Amino acid sequence: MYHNTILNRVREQHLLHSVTLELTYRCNLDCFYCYNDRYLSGKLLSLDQYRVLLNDLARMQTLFLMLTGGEPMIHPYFFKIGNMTRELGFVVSIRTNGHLLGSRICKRLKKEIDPYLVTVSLHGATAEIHDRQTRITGSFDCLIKNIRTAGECGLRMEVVTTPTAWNEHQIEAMFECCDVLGVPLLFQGPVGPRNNGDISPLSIQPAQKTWDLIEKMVSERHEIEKSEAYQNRAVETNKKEPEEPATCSVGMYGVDIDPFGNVQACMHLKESAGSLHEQSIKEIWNHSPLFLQAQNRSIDAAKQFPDHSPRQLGAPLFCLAVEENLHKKS
Amino acid sequence: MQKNGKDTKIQLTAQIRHRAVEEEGVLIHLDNGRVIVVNEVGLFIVQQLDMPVTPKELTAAIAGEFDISTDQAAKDLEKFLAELDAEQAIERSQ
Repeated sequence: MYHNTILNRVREQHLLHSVTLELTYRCNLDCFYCYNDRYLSGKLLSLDQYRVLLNDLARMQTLFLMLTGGEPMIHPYFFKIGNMTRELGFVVSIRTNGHLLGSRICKRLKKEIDPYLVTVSLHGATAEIHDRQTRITGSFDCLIKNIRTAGECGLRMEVVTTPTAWNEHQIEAMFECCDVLGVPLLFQGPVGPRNNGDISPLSIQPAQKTWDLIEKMVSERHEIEKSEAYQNRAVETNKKEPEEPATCSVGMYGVDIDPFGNVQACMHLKESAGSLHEQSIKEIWNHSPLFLQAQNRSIDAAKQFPDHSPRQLGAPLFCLAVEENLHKKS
Repeated sequence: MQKNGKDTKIQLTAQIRHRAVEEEGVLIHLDNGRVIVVNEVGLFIVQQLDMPVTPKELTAAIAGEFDISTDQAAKDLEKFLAELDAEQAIERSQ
């Protein structure tokens, strides 16, 4: 019903259904393959501007908000912004490295923001491998402890990992690690260039057979388990195919907003449809041609996969931005 | 199912988030992830339930908004409240 009725209506009427807020590009970790360009600069959005934005989005009936970054929880107004999202009735998810999810912060998160989902990033099943990626000693032990704490505080958690040449021998161990923690493990990828076109992260691309193993293991688990953790992701599973095949839903339901107020079709396609310093979100969403252009680029990209099985750099996934950033001059 | 006493006030639980999508509404239950889609009348009722309201007040509001008899409104409301109860989407207070 949701996909057949609501999402179709959202698409047909060009309604803004979900927004990703990149609160900052700063981070308290230093992951080697991070796609963010930390040297991007501009005029940051003020707290008042976030207040105006969130009120506008509520009036536009936007439902889903994701708070991300960089590391969103180091933004000085993270809790104030998060609390506004709760008061205005959004379904909020948070994408964080988990490093700050100690007991006091988790209780505060639950009380002041009450997110639907908190997603944290795992880079390996051992400290040696995870910390190699984050380049912060102790980050693995801290993350594991914090995932337990967050669960005890009533936060719904999930873990996401990107297969790399550094962790590909630990895929099964990462599944086991998450099983012990009682959280689902999801995979994303491929490792792509940084948003500024720097291709050095590609040096740790995993082998093709790693993705084959992941597909096999995920398929086996879905067959056996059909657990509540997956059923509860009702809003994100069982996606109906769009009328015309596209590599993703870019430009269809939502936007990304960077720390400087640029409204973009997605967090990796760094083209501004407009700036919140100059226009309202409603004006940008309703009048910029960028969103339809992004949709069309995604549809065009899908044509190279007549079997509807996209692949990119070995992964059974395709990201338009990765493709375009690969050809960008840094 | 709980009975609706004369002075019982009903409202959405704190775990429900909802939005309008044109004439229809979508509700998300934060605790169990359930997604509930409601029609135009359901959306109107859900929007009234943002604040505590008695069944009598709700019935009058529905009858006025959709130009139907209070008897019909009361019947529709009772059925819809039962569905929201089953979804653990509402709570009652005196």
